[in-house]
Amino acid sequence: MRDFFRGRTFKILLALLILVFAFMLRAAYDGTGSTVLSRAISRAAAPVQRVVSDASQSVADTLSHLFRGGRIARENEDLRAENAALREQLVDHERYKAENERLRAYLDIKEQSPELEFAPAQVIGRDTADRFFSFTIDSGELDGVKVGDPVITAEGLVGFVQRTTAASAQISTILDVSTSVGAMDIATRDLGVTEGTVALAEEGLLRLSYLSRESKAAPGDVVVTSGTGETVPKNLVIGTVTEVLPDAKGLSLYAVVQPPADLRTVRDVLVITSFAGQVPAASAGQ
Amino acid sequence: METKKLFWLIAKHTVYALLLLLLFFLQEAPAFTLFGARAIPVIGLFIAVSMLENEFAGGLYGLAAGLLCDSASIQIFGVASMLFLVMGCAAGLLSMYLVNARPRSAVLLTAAAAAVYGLVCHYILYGVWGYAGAARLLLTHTLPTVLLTAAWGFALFFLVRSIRDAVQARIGG
Repeated sequence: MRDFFRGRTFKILLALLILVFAFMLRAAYDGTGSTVLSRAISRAAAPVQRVVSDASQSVADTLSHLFRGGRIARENEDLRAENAALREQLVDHERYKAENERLRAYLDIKEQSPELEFAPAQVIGRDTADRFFSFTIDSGELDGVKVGDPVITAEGLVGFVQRTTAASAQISTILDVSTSVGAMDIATRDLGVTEGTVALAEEGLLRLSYLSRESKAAPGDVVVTSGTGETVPKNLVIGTVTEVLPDAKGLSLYAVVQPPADLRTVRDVLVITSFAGQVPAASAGQ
Repeated sequence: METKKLFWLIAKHTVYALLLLLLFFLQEAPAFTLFGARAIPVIGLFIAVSMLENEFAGGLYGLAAGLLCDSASIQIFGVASMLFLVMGCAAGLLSMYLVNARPRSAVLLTAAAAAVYGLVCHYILYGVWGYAGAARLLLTHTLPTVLLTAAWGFALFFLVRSIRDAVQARIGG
Protein backbone atom coordinates (compact mmCIF):
# COMPACT_ATOMS: atom_id res chain seq x y z
CA MET A 1 0.00 0.00 0.00
CA ARG A 2 2.91 2.35 0.62
CA ASP A 3 3.85 1.95 -3.04
CA PHE A 4 0.41 3.18 -4.03
CA PHE A 5 0.81 6.43 -2.13
CA ARG A 6 4.18 6.99 -3.74
CA GLY A 7 2.97 6.15 -7.22
CA ARG A 8 1.74 8.28 -10.08
CA THR A 9 -1.84 7.04 -9.89
CA PHE A 10 -2.21 8.41 -6.36
CA LYS A 11 -0.90 11.77 -7.47
CA ILE A 12 -3.35 11.86 -10.38
CA LEU A 13 -6.29 10.97 -8.15
CA LEU A 14 -5.20 13.52 -5.58
CA ALA A 15 -4.98 16.19 -8.26
CA LEU A 16 -8.50 15.34 -9.45
CA LEU A 17 -9.77 15.49 -5.88
CA ILE A 18 -8.24 18.91 -5.38
CA LEU A 19 -9.72 20.08 -8.68
CA VAL A 20 -13.20 18.96 -7.68
CA PHE A 21 -12.77 20.64 -4.30
CA ALA A 22 -11.79 23.84 -6.07
CA PHE A 23 -14.98 23.63 -8.15
CA MET A 24 -16.94 23.10 -4.96
CA LEU A 25 -15.39 26.17 -3.33
CA ARG A 26 -16.17 28.18 -6.43
CA ALA A 27 -19.78 27.00 -6.40
CA ALA A 28 -20.09 27.87 -2.72
CA TYR A 29 -18.44 31.28 -3.20
CA ASP A 30 -20.78 32.50 -5.93
CA GLY A 31 -23.81 31.08 -4.14
CA THR A 32 -25.19 29.10 -7.06
CA GLY A 33 -24.18 25.69 -5.79
CA SER A 34 -23.33 24.64 -9.33
CA THR A 35 -20.44 25.04 -11.73
CA VAL A 36 -19.85 25.27 -15.44
CA LEU A 37 -19.07 21.56 -15.43
CA SER A 38 -22.28 20.49 -13.69
CA ARG A 39 -24.36 22.80 -15.87
CA ALA A 40 -22.78 21.33 -19.00
CA ILE A 41 -23.51 17.79 -17.80
CA SER A 42 -27.11 18.71 -16.93
CA ARG A 43 -27.62 20.32 -20.32
CA ALA A 44 -26.33 17.26 -22.11
CA ALA A 45 -28.29 14.85 -19.94
CA ALA A 46 -31.68 16.62 -20.00
CA PRO A 47 -32.91 15.28 -23.37
CA VAL A 48 -31.97 11.72 -22.49
CA GLN A 49 -33.52 12.05 -19.05
CA ARG A 50 -36.77 13.09 -20.69
CA VAL A 51 -36.80 9.99 -22.89
CA VAL A 52 -35.87 7.66 -20.04
CA SER A 53 -38.47 9.27 -17.80
CA ASP A 54 -41.25 8.64 -20.33
CA ALA A 55 -40.07 5.10 -20.97
CA SER A 56 -39.78 4.22 -17.28
CA GLN A 57 -43.22 5.67 -16.59
CA SER A 58 -44.69 3.50 -19.35
CA VAL A 59 -43.03 0.43 -17.89
CA ALA A 60 -44.22 1.33 -14.40
CA ASP A 61 -47.79 1.83 -15.63
CA THR A 62 -47.71 -1.52 -17.44
CA LEU A 63 -46.33 -3.37 -14.43
CA SER A 64 -48.92 -1.76 -12.20
CA HIS A 65 -51.63 -2.94 -14.55
CA LEU A 66 -50.22 -6.48 -14.56
CA PHE A 67 -50.04 -6.72 -10.79
CA ARG A 68 -53.49 -5.30 -10.13
CA GLY A 69 -55.32 -5.66 -13.32
CA GLY A 70 -56.02 -9.33 -13.91
CA ARG A 71 -59.61 -8.84 -12.98
CA ILE A 72 -59.74 -5.34 -14.42
CA ALA A 73 -58.27 -6.52 -17.70
CA ARG A 74 -61.00 -9.16 -18.04
CA GLU A 75 -63.72 -6.62 -17.34
CA ASN A 76 -62.09 -4.18 -19.74
CA GLU A 77 -62.05 -6.79 -22.49
CA ASP A 78 -65.75 -7.47 -21.93
CA LEU A 79 -66.59 -3.77 -22.08
CA ARG A 80 -64.45 -3.27 -25.17
CA ALA A 81 -66.22 -6.12 -26.93
CA GLU A 82 -69.64 -4.57 -26.12
CA ASN A 83 -68.75 -0.92 -26.70
CA ALA A 84 -65.80 -0.87 -29.14
CA ALA A 85 -66.94 1.92 -31.39
CA LEU A 86 -68.29 4.15 -28.62
CA ARG A 87 -65.18 3.58 -26.47
CA GLU A 88 -62.92 4.86 -29.26
CA GLN A 89 -64.93 8.05 -29.47
CA LEU A 90 -65.03 8.29 -25.68
CA VAL A 91 -61.24 7.97 -25.39
CA ASP A 92 -60.78 10.86 -27.81
CA HIS A 93 -63.43 12.89 -26.05
CA GLU A 94 -61.93 12.31 -22.60
CA ARG A 95 -58.48 13.17 -23.84
CA TYR A 96 -59.60 16.44 -25.33
CA LYS A 97 -61.72 17.19 -22.28
CA ALA A 98 -58.82 16.55 -19.86
CA GLU A 99 -56.48 18.67 -21.94
CA ASN A 100 -59.12 21.39 -22.16
CA GLU A 101 -59.61 21.37 -18.39
CA ARG A 102 -55.88 21.52 -17.77
CA LEU A 103 -55.40 24.38 -20.20
CA ARG A 104 -58.50 26.15 -18.85
CA ALA A 105 -57.06 25.95 -15.34
CA TYR A 106 -53.87 27.53 -16.58
CA LEU A 107 -55.92 30.14 -18.45
CA ASP A 108 -57.80 30.96 -15.23
CA ILE A 109 -54.49 31.61 -13.54
CA LYS A 110 -53.41 33.78 -16.47
CA GLU A 111 -56.70 35.71 -16.52
CA GLN A 112 -56.60 36.35 -12.80
CA SER A 113 -53.05 37.51 -13.04
CA PRO A 114 -52.40 38.61 -16.61
CA GLU A 115 -48.99 39.97 -15.68
CA LEU A 116 -47.74 36.43 -14.97
CA GLU A 117 -45.38 34.90 -17.49
CA PHE A 118 -44.92 31.14 -17.60
CA ALA A 119 -42.52 28.56 -18.89
CA PRO A 120 -44.13 25.11 -19.24
CA ALA A 121 -42.01 22.16 -18.19
CA GLN A 122 -42.06 18.43 -17.69
CA VAL A 123 -40.53 16.50 -14.81
CA ILE A 124 -37.63 14.46 -16.19
CA GLY A 125 -35.81 13.31 -13.07
CA ARG A 126 -35.96 12.90 -9.33
CA ASP A 127 -33.06 13.62 -6.96
CA THR A 128 -31.89 10.43 -5.20
CA ALA A 129 -30.17 12.43 -2.46
CA ASP A 130 -33.19 14.51 -1.50
CA ARG A 131 -35.87 13.41 0.97
CA PHE A 132 -38.53 15.89 0.02
CA PHE A 133 -39.30 14.84 -3.55
CA SER A 134 -37.26 17.47 -5.34
CA PHE A 135 -37.19 17.01 -9.10
CA THR A 136 -35.58 18.11 -12.34
CA ILE A 137 -37.54 19.81 -15.14
CA ASP A 138 -36.68 20.25 -18.81
CA SER A 139 -36.85 24.05 -18.85
CA GLY A 140 -33.86 26.17 -17.93
CA GLU A 141 -32.15 29.52 -18.42
CA LEU A 142 -32.86 29.50 -22.15
CA ASP A 143 -36.58 29.42 -21.30
CA GLY A 144 -36.29 32.33 -18.89
CA VAL A 145 -36.19 30.21 -15.73
CA LYS A 146 -34.23 31.73 -12.82
CA VAL A 147 -33.29 30.60 -9.34
CA GLY A 148 -36.12 31.37 -6.94
CA ASP A 149 -38.92 31.28 -9.54
CA PRO A 150 -42.12 29.70 -8.19
CA VAL A 151 -43.24 26.43 -9.78
CA ILE A 152 -46.94 25.58 -10.00
CA THR A 153 -49.38 23.09 -11.42
CA ALA A 154 -53.00 23.74 -12.30
CA GLU A 155 -53.83 22.84 -8.68
CA GLY A 156 -51.38 25.19 -7.00
CA LEU A 157 -47.85 25.91 -5.81
CA VAL A 158 -45.47 22.94 -5.77
CA GLY A 159 -42.02 24.44 -5.22
CA PHE A 160 -39.26 26.81 -6.21
CA VAL A 161 -36.36 26.72 -8.63
CA GLN A 162 -33.21 25.83 -6.71
CA ARG A 163 -30.63 25.54 -9.47
CA THR A 164 -30.64 26.16 -13.20
CA THR A 165 -28.70 25.17 -16.27
CA ALA A 166 -29.28 26.24 -19.85
CA ALA A 167 -31.87 23.53 -20.53
CA SER A 168 -32.95 22.20 -17.15
CA ALA A 169 -33.57 23.18 -13.56
CA GLN A 170 -33.74 21.51 -10.16
CA ILE A 171 -36.86 22.22 -8.13
CA SER A 172 -37.16 21.95 -4.36
CA THR A 173 -40.73 21.33 -3.26
CA ILE A 174 -42.78 23.19 -0.67
CA LEU A 175 -42.42 20.11 1.58
CA ASP A 176 -38.69 20.80 1.94
CA VAL A 177 -37.67 21.80 5.48
CA SER A 178 -35.58 24.65 4.09
CA THR A 179 -38.51 26.17 2.17
CA SER A 180 -40.89 28.63 3.80
CA VAL A 181 -43.64 30.64 2.12
CA GLY A 182 -45.70 33.56 3.36
CA ALA A 183 -49.29 32.32 3.43
CA MET A 184 -52.83 33.30 4.29
CA ASP A 185 -55.97 31.41 5.27
CA ILE A 186 -58.57 32.69 2.79
CA ALA A 187 -61.50 32.08 5.13
CA THR A 188 -60.15 33.87 8.19
CA ARG A 189 -57.53 36.14 6.51
CA ASP A 190 -54.99 34.91 9.09
CA LEU A 191 -51.39 35.27 8.02
CA GLY A 192 -48.73 32.67 8.65
CA VAL A 193 -45.73 30.89 7.15
CA THR A 194 -45.85 27.47 5.56
CA GLU A 195 -42.83 25.28 6.11
CA GLY A 196 -41.94 21.66 5.65
CA THR A 197 -41.20 19.29 8.50
CA VAL A 198 -39.66 15.84 8.33
CA ALA A 199 -42.63 14.10 9.95
CA LEU A 200 -45.32 15.79 7.86
CA ALA A 201 -43.37 15.54 4.60
CA GLU A 202 -43.49 11.75 4.80
CA GLU A 203 -47.28 12.01 4.50
CA GLY A 204 -47.12 14.67 1.81
CA LEU A 205 -48.23 17.42 4.19
CA LEU A 206 -46.79 20.70 5.37
CA ARG A 207 -47.25 23.08 8.27
CA LEU A 208 -48.75 26.57 8.44
CA SER A 209 -47.08 28.15 11.46
CA TYR A 210 -47.44 31.32 13.53
CA LEU A 211 -51.22 31.48 13.56
CA SER A 212 -52.43 33.54 16.48
CA ARG A 213 -54.07 31.76 19.39
CA GLU A 214 -57.33 33.51 18.53
CA SER A 215 -57.27 32.27 14.96
CA LYS A 216 -60.51 30.78 13.66
CA ALA A 217 -58.75 28.66 11.07
CA ALA A 218 -60.52 25.34 10.64
CA PRO A 219 -60.25 22.17 8.55
CA GLY A 220 -61.32 22.79 5.01
CA ASP A 221 -59.94 26.30 4.80
CA VAL A 222 -57.92 27.03 1.69
CA VAL A 223 -54.39 28.38 2.22
CA VAL A 224 -52.89 30.63 -0.44
CA THR A 225 -49.70 32.61 -0.81
CA SER A 226 -49.79 36.05 0.77
CA GLY A 227 -47.22 37.56 -1.58
CA THR A 228 -45.05 38.62 1.36
CA GLY A 229 -41.47 39.23 0.31
CA GLU A 230 -42.42 39.66 -3.36
CA THR A 231 -40.80 36.35 -4.26
CA VAL A 232 -44.06 34.59 -5.07
CA PRO A 233 -47.33 36.00 -6.51
CA LYS A 234 -50.31 36.37 -4.25
CA ASN A 235 -53.23 33.95 -4.11
CA LEU A 236 -51.49 30.86 -5.40
CA VAL A 237 -53.12 27.84 -3.75
CA ILE A 238 -50.79 26.07 -1.34
CA GLY A 239 -53.29 23.59 0.06
CA THR A 240 -56.20 22.87 2.35
CA VAL A 241 -56.16 22.83 6.15
CA THR A 242 -56.72 19.34 7.57
CA GLU A 243 -56.32 20.15 11.26
CA VAL A 244 -55.38 23.02 13.59
CA LEU A 245 -53.24 22.37 16.64
CA PRO A 246 -51.42 24.39 19.30
CA ASP A 247 -47.68 24.61 18.87
CA ALA A 248 -45.28 23.02 21.35
CA LYS A 249 -45.10 26.10 23.58
CA GLY A 250 -48.78 26.92 23.39
CA LEU A 251 -48.09 30.47 22.28
CA SER A 252 -49.62 30.12 18.86
CA LEU A 253 -51.44 27.69 16.65
CA TYR A 254 -50.35 25.83 13.57
CA ALA A 255 -52.32 24.14 10.84
CA VAL A 256 -51.52 20.98 8.94
CA VAL A 257 -51.97 21.67 5.23
CA GLN A 258 -52.61 19.18 2.46
CA PRO A 259 -51.25 20.33 -0.92
CA PRO A 260 -53.75 19.80 -3.77
CA ALA A 261 -51.19 18.07 -5.99
CA ASP A 262 -49.31 14.88 -5.06
CA LEU A 263 -45.75 16.17 -5.16
CA ARG A 264 -44.37 12.65 -5.46
CA THR A 265 -46.02 12.07 -8.83
CA VAL A 266 -46.36 15.51 -10.42
CA ARG A 267 -45.33 15.39 -14.06
CA ASP A 268 -46.28 18.65 -15.78
CA VAL A 269 -45.58 22.03 -14.22
CA LEU A 270 -45.41 25.73 -15.04
CA VAL A 271 -42.56 27.96 -13.91
CA ILE A 272 -43.61 31.54 -13.19
CA THR A 273 -40.76 33.42 -14.76
CA SER A 274 -42.15 36.90 -14.19
CA PHE A 275 -44.89 38.61 -12.20
CA ALA A 276 -45.69 42.14 -11.13
CA GLY A 277 -43.57 43.33 -8.23
CA GLN A 278 -41.22 40.36 -8.38
CA VAL A 279 -38.03 40.73 -6.33
CA PRO A 280 -35.16 38.37 -7.20
CA ALA A 281 -34.79 35.77 -4.46
CA ALA A 282 -31.33 34.83 -3.16
CA SER A 283 -32.62 31.32 -2.65
CA ALA A 284 -35.90 29.51 -3.08
CA GLY A 285 -38.65 29.99 -0.59
CA GLN A 286 -37.36 33.15 1.09
CA MET B 1 -1.04 -8.28 -30.36
CA GLU B 2 -0.65 -5.01 -28.54
CA THR B 3 -3.16 -3.40 -30.87
CA LYS B 4 -5.64 -6.16 -30.20
CA LYS B 5 -5.14 -5.86 -26.46
CA LEU B 6 -5.54 -2.10 -26.59
CA PHE B 7 -8.69 -2.45 -28.68
CA TRP B 8 -10.33 -4.80 -26.19
CA LEU B 9 -9.30 -2.66 -23.24
CA ILE B 10 -10.88 0.37 -24.86
CA ALA B 11 -13.97 -1.68 -25.68
CA LYS B 12 -14.23 -2.86 -22.08
CA HIS B 13 -14.02 0.63 -20.63
CA THR B 14 -16.47 1.90 -23.24
CA VAL B 15 -18.94 -0.71 -22.02
CA TYR B 16 -18.29 0.33 -18.43
CA ALA B 17 -18.86 3.98 -19.33
CA LEU B 18 -22.08 3.27 -21.21
CA LEU B 19 -23.28 1.14 -18.32
CA LEU B 20 -22.53 4.00 -15.95
CA LEU B 21 -24.58 6.40 -18.07
CA LEU B 22 -27.45 3.93 -18.37
CA LEU B 23 -27.55 3.35 -14.62
CA PHE B 24 -27.41 7.08 -13.96
CA PHE B 25 -30.38 7.84 -16.21
CA LEU B 26 -32.24 4.92 -14.69
CA GLN B 27 -31.64 6.03 -11.12
CA GLU B 28 -32.85 9.56 -11.90
CA ALA B 29 -36.03 8.40 -13.67
CA PRO B 30 -39.09 9.42 -11.65
CA ALA B 31 -40.64 5.95 -11.87
CA PHE B 32 -37.47 4.18 -10.65
CA THR B 33 -38.66 3.55 -7.11
CA LEU B 34 -39.51 0.49 -5.04
CA PHE B 35 -42.16 1.18 -2.40
CA GLY B 36 -41.04 4.81 -2.39
CA ALA B 37 -37.32 4.05 -1.93
CA ARG B 38 -34.69 4.90 -4.53
CA ALA B 39 -31.42 3.08 -5.20
CA ILE B 40 -28.11 4.55 -6.41
CA PRO B 41 -26.83 1.81 -8.72
CA VAL B 42 -23.86 3.87 -9.96
CA ILE B 43 -22.29 3.25 -6.54
CA GLY B 44 -22.51 -0.50 -7.13
CA LEU B 45 -20.91 -0.09 -10.52
CA PHE B 46 -17.81 1.85 -9.51
CA ILE B 47 -17.31 -0.37 -6.45
CA ALA B 48 -17.43 -3.45 -8.70
CA VAL B 49 -15.02 -1.88 -11.20
CA SER B 50 -12.72 -0.90 -8.37
CA MET B 51 -12.67 -4.38 -6.90
CA LEU B 52 -12.26 -6.20 -10.18
CA GLU B 53 -9.97 -3.81 -12.05
CA ASN B 54 -7.80 -1.58 -9.88
CA GLU B 55 -8.01 1.36 -7.51
CA PHE B 56 -7.18 3.90 -10.22
CA ALA B 57 -10.07 2.79 -12.41
CA GLY B 58 -12.28 2.69 -9.37
CA GLY B 59 -11.34 6.26 -8.49
CA LEU B 60 -11.96 7.50 -12.01
CA TYR B 61 -15.31 5.76 -12.37
CA GLY B 62 -16.23 6.98 -8.91
CA LEU B 63 -15.40 10.52 -9.98
CA ALA B 64 -17.47 10.14 -13.15
CA ALA B 65 -20.41 8.75 -11.20
CA GLY B 66 -20.09 11.56 -8.69
CA LEU B 67 -20.06 14.25 -11.38
CA LEU B 68 -23.25 12.82 -12.85
CA CYS B 69 -24.96 12.66 -9.46
CA ASP B 70 -23.84 16.19 -8.57
CA SER B 71 -25.20 17.58 -11.83
CA ALA B 72 -28.67 16.27 -10.99
CA SER B 73 -28.71 17.12 -7.29
CA ILE B 74 -29.92 20.22 -5.46
CA GLN B 75 -27.02 20.11 -3.02
CA ILE B 76 -23.76 21.90 -3.64
CA PHE B 77 -21.58 20.59 -6.45
CA GLY B 78 -18.69 18.34 -5.53
CA VAL B 79 -19.98 16.32 -2.59
CA ALA B 80 -20.72 13.15 -4.53
CA SER B 81 -17.71 13.62 -6.83
CA MET B 82 -15.20 13.79 -4.01
CA LEU B 83 -16.83 11.07 -1.93
CA PHE B 84 -17.17 8.61 -4.81
CA LEU B 85 -13.61 9.23 -5.99
CA VAL B 86 -12.22 8.46 -2.55
CA MET B 87 -14.53 5.49 -1.98
CA GLY B 88 -13.79 4.06 -5.41
CA CYS B 89 -10.08 4.24 -4.77
CA ALA B 90 -10.45 2.87 -1.24
CA ALA B 91 -12.52 -0.10 -2.42
CA GLY B 92 -9.78 -1.04 -4.85
CA LEU B 93 -7.10 -0.86 -2.17
CA LEU B 94 -9.24 -2.83 0.27
CA SER B 95 -9.88 -5.59 -2.23
CA MET B 96 -6.18 -5.67 -3.01
CA TYR B 97 -4.89 -5.90 0.54
CA LEU B 98 -7.67 -6.92 2.87
CA VAL B 99 -10.68 -8.54 1.27
CA ASN B 100 -11.17 -10.89 -1.65
CA ALA B 101 -13.07 -9.78 -4.73
CA ARG B 102 -16.22 -11.76 -3.97
CA PRO B 103 -19.90 -10.97 -4.30
CA ARG B 104 -20.45 -10.64 -0.56
CA SER B 105 -17.51 -8.26 -0.30
CA ALA B 106 -19.02 -6.25 -3.13
CA VAL B 107 -22.34 -6.10 -1.29
CA LEU B 108 -20.67 -4.96 1.93
CA LEU B 109 -18.50 -2.35 0.27
CA THR B 110 -21.42 -1.05 -1.80
CA ALA B 111 -23.60 -0.83 1.29
CA ALA B 112 -20.81 0.94 3.18
CA ALA B 113 -20.29 3.41 0.35
CA ALA B 114 -24.01 4.12 0.08
CA ALA B 115 -24.23 4.54 3.85
CA VAL B 116 -21.32 6.99 3.94
CA TYR B 117 -22.82 8.99 1.08
CA GLY B 118 -26.24 8.98 2.72
CA LEU B 119 -24.84 10.06 6.08
CA VAL B 120 -22.77 12.86 4.58
CA CYS B 121 -25.71 14.14 2.53
CA HIS B 122 -27.97 13.92 5.55
CA TYR B 123 -25.50 15.88 7.65
CA ILE B 124 -24.97 18.57 5.04
CA LEU B 125 -28.64 18.99 4.14
CA TYR B 126 -30.31 18.55 7.51
CA GLY B 127 -27.95 17.73 10.38
CA VAL B 128 -26.03 20.98 10.26
CA TRP B 129 -29.24 23.02 10.30
CA GLY B 130 -30.77 21.12 13.20
CA TYR B 131 -34.18 20.47 11.65
CA ALA B 132 -36.53 18.76 14.07
CA GLY B 133 -37.06 15.09 13.38
CA ALA B 134 -34.31 14.93 10.77
CA ALA B 135 -32.91 11.76 12.34
CA ARG B 136 -36.02 9.88 11.17
CA LEU B 137 -34.89 10.38 7.60
CA LEU B 138 -31.98 8.06 8.29
CA LEU B 139 -34.44 5.29 8.97
CA THR B 140 -37.09 6.10 6.38
CA HIS B 141 -34.89 7.22 3.51
CA THR B 142 -31.18 6.45 3.97
CA LEU B 143 -31.53 2.88 5.20
CA PRO B 144 -33.83 1.71 2.34
CA THR B 145 -31.52 3.41 -0.15
CA VAL B 146 -28.52 1.58 1.31
CA LEU B 147 -30.29 -1.78 1.15
CA LEU B 148 -31.50 -1.30 -2.43
CA THR B 149 -28.11 -0.03 -3.55
CA ALA B 150 -26.40 -3.04 -1.95
CA ALA B 151 -28.73 -5.32 -3.92
CA TRP B 152 -27.67 -3.54 -7.09
CA GLY B 153 -24.04 -3.96 -6.03
CA PHE B 154 -24.53 -7.72 -5.88
CA ALA B 155 -25.93 -7.88 -9.42
CA LEU B 156 -23.46 -5.41 -10.89
CA PHE B 157 -20.50 -7.32 -9.45
CA PHE B 158 -21.45 -10.34 -11.57
CA LEU B 159 -22.04 -8.17 -14.62
CA VAL B 160 -18.70 -6.38 -14.38
CA ARG B 161 -16.93 -9.64 -13.67
CA SER B 162 -18.44 -11.26 -16.75
CA ILE B 163 -17.39 -8.28 -18.88
CA ARG B 164 -13.88 -8.37 -17.48
CA ASP B 165 -13.59 -12.14 -17.95
CA ALA B 166 -14.91 -11.96 -21.51
CA VAL B 167 -12.31 -9.34 -22.43
CA GLN B 168 -9.51 -11.20 -20.69
CA ALA B 169 -10.44 -14.34 -22.60
CA ARG B 170 -10.08 -12.46 -25.87
CA ILE B 171 -6.85 -10.83 -24.83
CA GLY B 172 -5.56 -14.16 -23.63
CA GLY B 173 -4.50 -12.78 -20.25
